Amino acid sequence: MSQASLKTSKRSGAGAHSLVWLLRRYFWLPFGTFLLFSAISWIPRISEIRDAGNELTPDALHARQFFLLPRNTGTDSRTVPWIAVLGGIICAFILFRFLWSKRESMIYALLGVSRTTLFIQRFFFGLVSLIVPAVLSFCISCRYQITHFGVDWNGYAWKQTILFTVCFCVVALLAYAVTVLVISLTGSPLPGGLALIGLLTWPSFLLMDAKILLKRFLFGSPLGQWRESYGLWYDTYKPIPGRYLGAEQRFGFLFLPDLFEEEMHNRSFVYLAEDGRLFGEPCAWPTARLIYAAVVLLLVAAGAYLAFRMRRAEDSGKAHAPLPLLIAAFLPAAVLPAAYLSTLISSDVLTVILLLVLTPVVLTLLCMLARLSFPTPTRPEGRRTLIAAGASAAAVVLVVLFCAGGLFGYSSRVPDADNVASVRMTYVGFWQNWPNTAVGATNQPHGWTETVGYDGAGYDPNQVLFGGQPPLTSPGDIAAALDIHRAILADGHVKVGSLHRDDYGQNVLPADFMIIYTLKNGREVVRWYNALTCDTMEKALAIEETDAFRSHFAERRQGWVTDDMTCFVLSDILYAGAVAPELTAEEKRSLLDALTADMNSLTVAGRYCMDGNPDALGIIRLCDTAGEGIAVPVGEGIAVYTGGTASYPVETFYVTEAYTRTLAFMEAHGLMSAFEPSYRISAMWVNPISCLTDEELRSEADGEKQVNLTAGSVPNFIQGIRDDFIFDWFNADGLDRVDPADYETMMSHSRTTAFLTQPRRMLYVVCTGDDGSPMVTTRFLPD
Amino acid sequence: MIQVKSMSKSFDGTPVLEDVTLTMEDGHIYGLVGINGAGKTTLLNLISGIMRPESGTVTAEAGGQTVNVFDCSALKRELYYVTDDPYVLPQASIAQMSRLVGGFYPRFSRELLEKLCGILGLDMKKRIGSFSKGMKRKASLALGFAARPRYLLLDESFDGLDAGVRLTVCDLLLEFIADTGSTVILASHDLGDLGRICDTVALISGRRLVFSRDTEELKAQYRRVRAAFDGAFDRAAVQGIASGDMTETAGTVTFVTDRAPDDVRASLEACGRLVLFEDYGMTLEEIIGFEIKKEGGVGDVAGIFEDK
Repeated sequence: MSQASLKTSKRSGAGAHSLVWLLRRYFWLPFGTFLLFSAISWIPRISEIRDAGNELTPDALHARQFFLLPRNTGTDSRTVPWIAVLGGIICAFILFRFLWSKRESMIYALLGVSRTTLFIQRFFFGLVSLIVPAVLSFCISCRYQITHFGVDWNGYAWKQTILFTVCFCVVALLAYAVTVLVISLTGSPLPGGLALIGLLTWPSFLLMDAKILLKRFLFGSPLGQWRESYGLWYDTYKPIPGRYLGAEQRFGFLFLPDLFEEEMHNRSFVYLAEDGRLFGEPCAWPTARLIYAAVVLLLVAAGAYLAFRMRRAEDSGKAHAPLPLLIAAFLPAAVLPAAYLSTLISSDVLTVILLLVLTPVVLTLLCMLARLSFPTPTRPEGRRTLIAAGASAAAVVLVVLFCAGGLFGYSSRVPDADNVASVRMTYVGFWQNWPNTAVGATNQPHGWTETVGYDGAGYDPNQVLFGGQPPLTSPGDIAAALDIHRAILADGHVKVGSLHRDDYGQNVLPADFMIIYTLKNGREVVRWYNALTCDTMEKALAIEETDAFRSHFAERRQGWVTDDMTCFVLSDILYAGAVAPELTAEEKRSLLDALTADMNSLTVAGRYCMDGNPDALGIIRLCDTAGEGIAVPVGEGIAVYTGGTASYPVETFYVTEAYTRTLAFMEAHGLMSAFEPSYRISAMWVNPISCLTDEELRSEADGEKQVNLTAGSVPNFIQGIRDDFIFDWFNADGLDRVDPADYETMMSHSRTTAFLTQPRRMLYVVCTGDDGSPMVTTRFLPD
Repeated sequence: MIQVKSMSKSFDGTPVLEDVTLTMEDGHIYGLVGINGAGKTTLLNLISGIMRPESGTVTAEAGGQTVNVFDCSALKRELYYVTDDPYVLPQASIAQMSRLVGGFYPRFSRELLEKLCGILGLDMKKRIGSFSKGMKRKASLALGFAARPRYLLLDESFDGLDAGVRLTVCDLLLEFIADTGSTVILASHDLGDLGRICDTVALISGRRLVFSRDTEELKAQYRRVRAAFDGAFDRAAVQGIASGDMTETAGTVTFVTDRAPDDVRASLEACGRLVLFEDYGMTLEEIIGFEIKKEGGVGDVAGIFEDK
């Protein structure tokens, strides 16, 4: 056979051939991802239409404001990041699955390109297959909306869409890179799948574990301490299947797809108004997160490349799945269910520790079994696994012990008064326990209680807990703050409640009480307590007697007068028979002056009708707007009961006999009749002080056994704002019903506010509202 | 030229090859033999650059220079490896595979491939997955020959081929060597074919390279001897002449030796009254079998079925 006589095939370089061949073989991949991404907007919409019982007709689509741009209309659009993740995983698997086949990977190893070339070509082809279709689908959707719906496509909408697209791409690319890394590291579906799940959730789990450990075991942790039952429920909320993406992220440290969840869900709101305008809420570019994501992407890609190059799967058909990786991936995940189970089983600390230790061990053994069922492990691997498991368990135990032991005095530390430059204190508590400086819906912080920052864009603890409080700087004020802190430490970790009603701490108030010391050396010492005993709360009220707070309150009340924006709602002690008297501006100022003077002259005990002080004669609520109907809410959002629009209360005054100037004003203007009892009690029951909300109380009044608390129903109940929070321990069967014959007796014993002598119990009173609907209000019983 | 120097390889801590040193000259056909699991395929994987040796080096000449073979793209373009279990793209035909393979081998010839398919009776447009085992093997070989690599590695490539095709493939190999001056390394258990075409045979046993010898030299060296004595003879002395075990039946001894026939005869005469002396040449299969047995590669089956 003559060599010269043979024509060789037309060819370019091997690298180019490899790329061309890759493109020819996987030309469909970008189209596939394009279809997948284009379907994103349809999935949530389809469920909307299905729920509405409509057909998928153009009219129905338009009627449902159906358009392609993914937007947040509720929980359904949480599908979006899942699809981004799914797209990344599928793309990586298609391009790199050959590594899991010994025969196939040998062929690729033999082709005339280096592993580096092979990896780079495939990796970048995958990136392009994700980015281009994503951008294209979003562009098409924008174009479609503009032409089909004629929407006002303003700069805001562009920004939001670009932001959404970028976030979407980043999530997809990160999922893709992580999957490539996992495929390169493992050799078969089981360890690969486990490692993938582990790696995609590991950072979230690890940090969540750290948070749980700190909250659970470190008293006064800056993350807040552990509240029995619902604290745990919330903290373990994300890993609950199907809800992982649902819960809001407050600390911004979570990984996929949490990284851009806020942008993708909360901040990418784009609404289509009836008139075709798009509008939403502005947000900043998440530059830091993008940089963080880019760094993570580069690191993961570099890791995947190294794993690809060093891969030894061709050696023996198995990839030497890195067992330490699997262990590292799953041990953090193990702590979470352990902690969750611990509360389901018992709140006993020893049980928790036991579970924290045992669960990683058990999971590690399961990992070992998983490996046993695939490539044959050798003895050294088994030993390494056991060592790793033991070391991990020991690390968990050590962290728990250190935290529970106070972390070398951290939890019991009270700074020396000489070293403190200033102190800020903030309190967010149960609405029945508001001190007199309760705040309204304007979200402007007043006094030392703070509204919860639920402004439709998510909960921002920094906004809530660190703004507005007057710093205490005088030696006397600092000493008062230190005394309060010491009282909290003396109480120790108190329980608010648990899944079992019998465990309610009867005299413990759910609260978020934060103390921030600024030391003279510039450092900050932050302590955050989530529950206070009533005794400590009484002591904490002493903060209102400090110079800083007195001047702050006076300044604020002066602001009310000058603002001339108030209306007054007067009612009896159960908020019934509410009236909004027509007052001139001068009369309003006079009433405000009287109230302010009375408040300033009262002690805390008198202000809150504490033991030994007279109870309120009636209630005056200062509201921020007038002319929206008279709604006398028990809490925010109660307007539905009164049939009117809520005019949000700025402050509530429980007017006692000590309010001499106020009472004089009322008598002079013939307003005293508003204080006469006009309520009609239809039901009453007694309960320990607990964390029930007005929403629950309403449901109870309606005879519901369990309620589903919706976001924002109780704005200053810090747990109340959290999505779909289920108080499943609430059950009417456990309540102590009051015989109707004893209604008057109970009322005569009850007091207006919670700050009474112990033991304290709540008296829930259901009375008939002005429009005949049930209205629930709360009184407090000293005995 | 391919050079393997003091190379070792292990899987999961289990040694597979230890301290292997081997030189393969261009234009030769090398046969790799050994028992199952001896490490032949591993050696081919190492030579092809798929695997990385744990110690030692494997180098080859590629692109005009000596290169380390692991993941060397320059070498890959001059080396074609027909694996024991060839992989083809799903749904691919020989024609489609040729488009993949052809781009990576500068000297790939589709014309040659068509000729080879004609010789081997292969339909280039038919899906390879539908082929029988032997047909798949032939397809792989055809693609390998058409690539006209400088180094052609064949792992059990005669397995599944009928006698006629084997002969054809042997002829193709010889023709291929003659025309291209390439090096062929062939791992096989079919010692008959190896003996026919291989210039050099290397035996791997017990994780080590036992020998790498010229085939003809090897055949000339080993001889089977049958001798008979009248009366008593010095059995220990006879055993000393044999290279391995000796069998004795009714005064007649049989053994294999690598000593020269005249020397053996003289030595036997010194052991007793020699009445019969016959010596025979050995096939490669017999030689390799003898060596493998000597190395302890297989156990002694004598008397295994006797009813005790």
